[in-house]
Amino acid sequence: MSRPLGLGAMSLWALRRAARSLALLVGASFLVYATLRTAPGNMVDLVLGLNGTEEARATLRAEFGLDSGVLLGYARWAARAATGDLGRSITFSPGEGVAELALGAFAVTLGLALVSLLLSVTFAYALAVALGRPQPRQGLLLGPLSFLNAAPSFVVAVCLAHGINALIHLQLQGGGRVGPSWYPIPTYQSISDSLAPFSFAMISISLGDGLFMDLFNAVRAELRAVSGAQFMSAVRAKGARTRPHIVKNLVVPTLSLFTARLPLVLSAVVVVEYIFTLDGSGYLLFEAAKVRDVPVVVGVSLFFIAAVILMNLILDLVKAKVDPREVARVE
Amino acid sequence: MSAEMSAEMSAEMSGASVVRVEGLTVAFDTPAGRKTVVDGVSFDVSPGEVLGVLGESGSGKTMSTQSILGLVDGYPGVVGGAISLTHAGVTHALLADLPAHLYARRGVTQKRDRAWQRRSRAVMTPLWGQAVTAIFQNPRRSLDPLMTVGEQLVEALAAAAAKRGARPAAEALRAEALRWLERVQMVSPPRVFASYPHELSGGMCQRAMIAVALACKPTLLVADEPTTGLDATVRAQVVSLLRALVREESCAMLYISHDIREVLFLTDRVIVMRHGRVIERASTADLRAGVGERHPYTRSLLDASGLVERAAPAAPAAPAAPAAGALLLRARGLNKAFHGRDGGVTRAIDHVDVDLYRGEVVALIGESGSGKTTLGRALTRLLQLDSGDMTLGGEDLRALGGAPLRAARRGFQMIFQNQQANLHPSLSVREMLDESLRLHQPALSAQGRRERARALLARVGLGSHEERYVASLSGGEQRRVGLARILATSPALIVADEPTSGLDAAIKLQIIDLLSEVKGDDLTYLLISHDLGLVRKIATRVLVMLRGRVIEEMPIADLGARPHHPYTEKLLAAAELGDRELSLDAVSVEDVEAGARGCSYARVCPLARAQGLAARCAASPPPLAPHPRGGALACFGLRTDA
Amino acid sequence: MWSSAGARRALGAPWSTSLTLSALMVGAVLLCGLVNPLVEYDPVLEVDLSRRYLPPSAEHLLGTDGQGRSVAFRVFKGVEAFFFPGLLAGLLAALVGGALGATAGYVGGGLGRGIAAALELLDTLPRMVFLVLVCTIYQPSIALIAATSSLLFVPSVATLVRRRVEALAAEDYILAHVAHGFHPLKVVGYHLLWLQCRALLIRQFIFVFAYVLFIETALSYLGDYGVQEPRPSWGNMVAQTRTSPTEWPWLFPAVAIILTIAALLTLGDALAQREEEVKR
Ligand SMILES: Nc1ncnc2c1ncn2[C@@H]1O[C@H](COP(=O)(O)OP(=O)(O)O)[C@@H](O)[C@H]1O
Ligand code: SF4
Ligand SMILES: [Mg+2]
Repeated sequence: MSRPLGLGAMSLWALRRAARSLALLVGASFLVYATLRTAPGNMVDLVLGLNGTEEARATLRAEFGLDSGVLLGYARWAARAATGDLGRSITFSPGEGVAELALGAFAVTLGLALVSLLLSVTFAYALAVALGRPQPRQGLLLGPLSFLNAAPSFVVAVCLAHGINALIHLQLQGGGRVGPSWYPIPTYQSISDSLAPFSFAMISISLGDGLFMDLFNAVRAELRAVSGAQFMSAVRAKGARTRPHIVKNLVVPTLSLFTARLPLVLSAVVVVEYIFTLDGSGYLLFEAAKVRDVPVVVGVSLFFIAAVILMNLILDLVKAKVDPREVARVE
Repeated sequence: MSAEMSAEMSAEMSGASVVRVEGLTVAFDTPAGRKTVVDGVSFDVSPGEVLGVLGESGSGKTMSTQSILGLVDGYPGVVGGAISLTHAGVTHALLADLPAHLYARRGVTQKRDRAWQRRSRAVMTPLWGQAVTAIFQNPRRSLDPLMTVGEQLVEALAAAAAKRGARPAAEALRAEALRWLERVQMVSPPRVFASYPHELSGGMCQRAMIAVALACKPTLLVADEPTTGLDATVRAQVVSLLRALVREESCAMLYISHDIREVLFLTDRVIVMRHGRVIERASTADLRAGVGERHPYTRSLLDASGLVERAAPAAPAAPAAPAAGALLLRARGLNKAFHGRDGGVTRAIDHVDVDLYRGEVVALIGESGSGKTTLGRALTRLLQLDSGDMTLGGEDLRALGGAPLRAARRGFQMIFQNQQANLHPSLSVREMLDESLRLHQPALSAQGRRERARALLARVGLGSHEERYVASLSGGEQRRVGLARILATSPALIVADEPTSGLDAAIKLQIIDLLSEVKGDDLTYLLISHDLGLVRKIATRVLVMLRGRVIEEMPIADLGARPHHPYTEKLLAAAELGDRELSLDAVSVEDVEAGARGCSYARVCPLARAQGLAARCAASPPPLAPHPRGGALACFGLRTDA
Repeated sequence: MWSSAGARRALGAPWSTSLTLSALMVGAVLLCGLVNPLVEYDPVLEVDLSRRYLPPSAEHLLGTDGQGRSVAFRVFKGVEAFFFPGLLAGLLAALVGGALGATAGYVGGGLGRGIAAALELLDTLPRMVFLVLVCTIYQPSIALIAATSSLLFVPSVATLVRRRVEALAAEDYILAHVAHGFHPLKVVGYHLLWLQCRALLIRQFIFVFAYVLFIETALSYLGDYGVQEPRPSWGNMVAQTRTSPTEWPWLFPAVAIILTIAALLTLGDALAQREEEVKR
């Protein structure tokens, strides 16, 4: 039928896919910019307040291309952004480059997101394999689990912070207070240094927002679909080992899960970081937003957008490498 | 009969059989209660013998074989009997000493599933590949989509070698794999070797599967409806190949099928199963020769196959020649091309002219991909044509649009190819009919609609099905409801696209009978089908399509009675599998070059080769010219000698 | 976030209990939400520093907070913060998403591809971050948050609908309805959207509702973007842990958040699943 896809077709596809990512990046950053430009009143006043210096005003106008129309302004702004110049922080950390600020913070965020996701997927696979096919009585375990798992990650984080503190407090036996005697007094200091915050954040993300149960259900369905596929019977029938086939066929669905979940996990990370005062972009975002440091907020947004688009691109390329059908399946 | 049977059985038992099944009973526990799918079945297969198991589709044959062979997870629901497999002089009992709790308890429990799985894996793992292997229906899904065909073939060869204690070099494995691909008639083995399954057609995938299965050098091959969903000529190729290779390899085969023609073609002995029981045991030779008393069900299968009819001296008179009613539909120069993503162009309809007269039943035959469905949809204004003219009862069909078109639609209806036909899955039968009647007969009151709906259901032979949903109807009932709905519009023309696909032989007949019953004098059918048996039963005229072109047209009486277009000949040969030996190089449309400038058949046409016409045929398409004996034909080779 | 139709099928018997409980919980929230506008509440008048941090009692079911206000009453009144915005956002996302998805899926071609591309673009915006951005630039209000949330959910709803409609439109039976003479709008609106995507849309509606609850609480916990003190919202009540970490009244709204979201999702899944199964 069709000719085997040579390297030519494959790299052509990769190029097209990359071009689409670039177009998305341009489009999404334009949406952000357009949001800025539609701000009520004067954006410079909004950012600098009424008492900014003339010089600061001029810089800001130049940085955001405010003197030109929306399209031209976007072009100027995007051209600067493309060279890594995202402007300077105004109120949060005056004078510091937004790109440096956001990059450092984003590394923490992305790390946390990926580690949590990886951990969840691993445990989801472990549980799915351990439980085997669905059975009525598993509901006793899975029902409550999925119910609890529906809690938003920030609530889990708050509960966790308090729960941990309660344990520590019981040892420290802190002094005077009001309220019922069963309620312990948390001391945030006790958990804020050391590795603990990172791990707690990770746990909150995995256990919140339904992440774990979603992954578990998806993974279990994939596992069943792959090991029950007809070609597995054929593999058995010819006397070969099935495991390599199962593993290989799980790669793409697992990667797809990753792609699908990443934006949501990033959102969760933003909130949870803030609760555990981790120095990530979530913390940066909220602190900057509090003092209306628009360049920083915009910079962080761009990092998120770029990260999600880039991640999707990488995963799609990997998928296409593993599964030749992906190339034919471009939407 | 029983004496004959026991004699046969004891004869079988005296020989060393490859597989012996005794009193096997398989039952599944469904929410509706226990369902026995196999009920005390016994048979055995001697070395090198081919045994056919003939039974209705959907009766659990696949499920039982696969789970008993341990190929799928889960408990098969075996409740009794014995199965023994003999390989290399050792007999393995598959069901012996099963823990009692496997049989006793109702309901699927995880414990039982796991116990069964552990056990069947322990028994079967050493046997797979060597003692027994299998090929399945849905060849495309039988190959791992992420590995090339070559890799999978090599894997099988390596596994087989490993069981013999050998470790051949990669080069040797590759060479042997290529040899196997050649043996299963791949046109270009190295290319197929490097291809992924999705790049191959269904027939090629099945041939690759046959290579994989036989490369293991099994003692027994279990073939479970390996031709389901394949086109007639592709099927003919697969079946012929299987027959030749199994004999060459002297491998025993258990051939499970619902198609009596295939079974007669392939096997030495046949058992016929119905409702889980064996109702007939016979040698294939006897069945073919019509020797001996037959169970009525077997009889009906033989009748439905058309084989017996042909054996009988006088075939029942073909439907009377068309009563030459008035011209109903006239289509000229229809064209429709689809543009693929990769820039390729498929000419699904290529300069087609069609005339339909009132009261006719015109059959449109051809293999899948030849454009039958597209033509049917074009004639019912369901897709946008590139060019051409159509008039229905004098009215210019192509000029219609919007509300006038919707109003005109009640005059021409279509039965769709799909299993669930025209039916919406979340509407009950009553709701569906009500909806149609409200649209097409707005004058009726609610009560009137109800009565009319009942009458329609009665007309298609359905009683109390009003509150049922599609999913709970059988395939045949779905077709009936679909027909009732169409009749609600009182159409003049019905285009029926494979109205019997996916149905069992007996049900097929019923549906065809129903179609002729409701036809009356005025109704016109365009019947799209690749089942020549059915076409013979009902059609008055036949159109043959190849690659978007109509290449032959004839009155039904001429079908098989005069020289045909070479491609029509091939279709006829493939359809009558049991009657003639097929040459092994059966070619299907998928091998015929797409977008040829001349005759689509030129590249593989034996007639062109014999008459030295190849150059001419390849240069320009032969026009559809009247045949002296009636009908028309598009072939340079035949026109001259006619 | 939160999608788990698969597990429900696997859960079996015990599930019906949690389904009942969920329905009760959602019913309670619904009732609270509907009654809320009828109940007068002046958060300033409530302040009574003489009864700070009272433990739960018959008079104050859940005790009192740091300003002597009844926690139970504030939990009840906190429903107002997300209830109507959530309903509106859910409705908007389901309607707009459904319409866009159906158009893109059924019409296809250039228009379909255009809509799909626009949706994909909108989908790259990180929800939480974009909401913060919008709140930074505009005057933050719950209406703004709800409107932006529903906008951010339009792509996912529309994509689900588009996939479904696209798949179904390719099926013979939908073409059969056209062939039968039904108006295309009826086929899309009734046979496709209403009969086949209803469950999906209901589920998405509930989902967006839950998201607005989530985002309102999260944002008022984090950045004072939601409903502001002294008016109660579950989020700003939980946020008290930041200023008075030694006290406990935050626990009740936190539990309310967990229970409500879990119940909503459970109910959404169950409704959707029942829809699918009813025709078997
Ligand atoms: N919507 C479509 N888009 C692209 N190609 C199509 C489409 N429909 C049919 N084709 C192609 O047109 C040819 C004829 O198809 P079809 O009419 O379905 O044949 P048949 O009904 O005889 O099996 C095939 O090659 C098929 O792949
Ligand atoms: S036209 Fe030529 S190639 Fe075509 S069928 Fe006739 S002889 Fe063969
Ligand atoms: Mg067809």
